[in-house]
Amino acid sequence: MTTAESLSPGGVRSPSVTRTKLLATLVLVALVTPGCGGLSVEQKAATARFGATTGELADLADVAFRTTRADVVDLRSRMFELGSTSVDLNASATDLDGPLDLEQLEKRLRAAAALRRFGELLTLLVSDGPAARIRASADDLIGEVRAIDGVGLSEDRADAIAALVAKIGGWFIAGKQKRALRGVVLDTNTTIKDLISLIERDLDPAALEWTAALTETVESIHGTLMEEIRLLDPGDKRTLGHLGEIELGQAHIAVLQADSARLALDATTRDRRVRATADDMNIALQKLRLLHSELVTLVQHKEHDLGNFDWLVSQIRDLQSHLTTIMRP
Amino acid sequence: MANTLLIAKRIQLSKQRLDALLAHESITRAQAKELLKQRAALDREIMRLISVNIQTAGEEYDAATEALAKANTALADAIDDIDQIGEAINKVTAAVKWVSKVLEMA
Repeated sequence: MTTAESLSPGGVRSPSVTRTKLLATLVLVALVTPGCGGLSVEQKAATARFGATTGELADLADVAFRTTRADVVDLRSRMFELGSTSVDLNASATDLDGPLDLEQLEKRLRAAAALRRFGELLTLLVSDGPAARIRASADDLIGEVRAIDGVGLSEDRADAIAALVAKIGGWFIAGKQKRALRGVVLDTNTTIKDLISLIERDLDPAALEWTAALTETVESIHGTLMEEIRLLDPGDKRTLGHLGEIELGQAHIAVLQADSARLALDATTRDRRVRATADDMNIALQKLRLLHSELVTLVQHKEHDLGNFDWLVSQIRDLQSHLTTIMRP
Repeated sequence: MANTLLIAKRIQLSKQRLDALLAHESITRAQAKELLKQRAALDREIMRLISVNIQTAGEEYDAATEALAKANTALADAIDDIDQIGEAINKVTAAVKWVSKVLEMA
């Protein structure tokens, strides 16, 4: 419609044109006004902070998984050299890394990586970052999650996330950010909860999972190895790791007793450290679960509630401070 | 990996009772060495339990938990009467075999 066509013979705009312009203005306002079409600065900051904190927690879980395995390998190697009968190199679950095989470590690191990707994706969604990077981040998240046993992400959900993220870019990105954020958070809701539970279980020494391999190794040093060595008599034969079977003299036994005492002390120290870290991590994961649930609730509101976002921000700060405590040497 | 299971709890109790028996004032060195072989076997079974997901429904699982319960009773009896130690060792050996069977099926 040209300007000439839209004017009435007297130069007055027709009611239909006025309505069209008014509607266009309202749509524009809705898209750029915080709390309507897009996200406010505070909401973006809270979401970005949540994403960053999730990433930090995932990094700590990654370190905890690797450290526990390294501790188990070191302790069990020393047990093997001392002739522990609890270590059997011919069986996968009782060899030097015990049940913490590299393949098992890989699965745990993937779970931590998926959580980190989720954090990155949330941060990118509210950062006005390049659309290509946001899409790559979403693909990474979907890829990581699909590689983990026991954590589901249906084809429909994955497709929905991909479709939402693909729409990002172009003009009025702020309006799409909010919709994409809501979509990603809701479509990954169950998956993220599963991931948190998976990591939580693995870090719980009371559960028969990842950390239990270390606590059981320590228990075996104290309960079995120390006793085996205490009961050695001169003339006994014992297979000492790579040395093979030797007939023990008094001096051998004295050395073995001293070495096993040092090992027991070291094992206790590591066990205490791992248990303390596991306790701290479990508190952090519980807080993350709570914050995630809050985020899920908030993104479902037609209008994000800034008051709740303030609460979210304060809780995220609390979690960040807790993570700083864990990282402190 | 498996969650904490009845079978694991019973193995832990077996180990605790073996420790109590090892600390018994009347135990001989030969008996203690025999008990330690059983303890090491239980250490290995626990590590295997961490590494796999076992079937908790089935005759073998029931038989294993039952065998462990009998071993624990026998160990408690031996703590009270050290002359029962031979019976306790036999029961623990039998229980370890059942646990191994369950783990092999996983």
